Amino acid sequence: MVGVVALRTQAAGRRWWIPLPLFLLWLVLLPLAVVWLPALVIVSLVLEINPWRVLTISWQLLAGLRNLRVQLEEREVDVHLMFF
Amino acid sequence: MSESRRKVLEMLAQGKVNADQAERLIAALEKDEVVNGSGVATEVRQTTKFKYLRVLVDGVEEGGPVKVNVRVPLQLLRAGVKLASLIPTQAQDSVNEALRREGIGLDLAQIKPENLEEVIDSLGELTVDVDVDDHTDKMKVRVFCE
Repeated sequence: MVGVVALRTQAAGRRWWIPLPLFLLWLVLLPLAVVWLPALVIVSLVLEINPWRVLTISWQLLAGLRNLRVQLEEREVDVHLMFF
Repeated sequence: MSESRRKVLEMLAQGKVNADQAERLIAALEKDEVVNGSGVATEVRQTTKFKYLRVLVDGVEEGGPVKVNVRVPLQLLRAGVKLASLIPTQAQDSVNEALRREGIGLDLAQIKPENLEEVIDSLGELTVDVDVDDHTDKMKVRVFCE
């Protein structure tokens, strides 16, 4: 899944289109998964919640982001958030 | 290309509808058209599953025109509702209490996965059109599923 945040601003008379690919964020977050995954399991067990269910729902949330599109257009600023 | 689809594209070319409206019209045609063996299109009502919740805001404010276009996959809503079941009981009570204070009589414990499909099906039939016409601002809000 790839997400893109795009900003278009009207500054100094020019319109800028800046796409920020969110997959770079995944590259940073994935190594941290080794740390937060056991922590998540421990917290779930403490709160008496099935950790497997937590993981399943978290995955479904991530997968559900696919095709999400938020588009805000104003006179001077356009913000687009898209997940593919 | 079917005659109705051609008409939609002509309307788009003539500027009678915008790209968004044309997309919706074509999607509606796709839903209703089933091509039979002889290639003749017949109108058949299909009980299609909706995929997205759409929120469209088209307005004019003091600063100029404002447009908001949100497409939320229903899959995400399903997962979000399931998330409610993970909230510990003590926290659920606090959330329910906070909601009640805001005038929302919702009990999180009542949100069950088996009721979820029913809720989403109901969402599919939901269309909300709001027109706000203030002295300075004009706003048109549309909420629907597609």
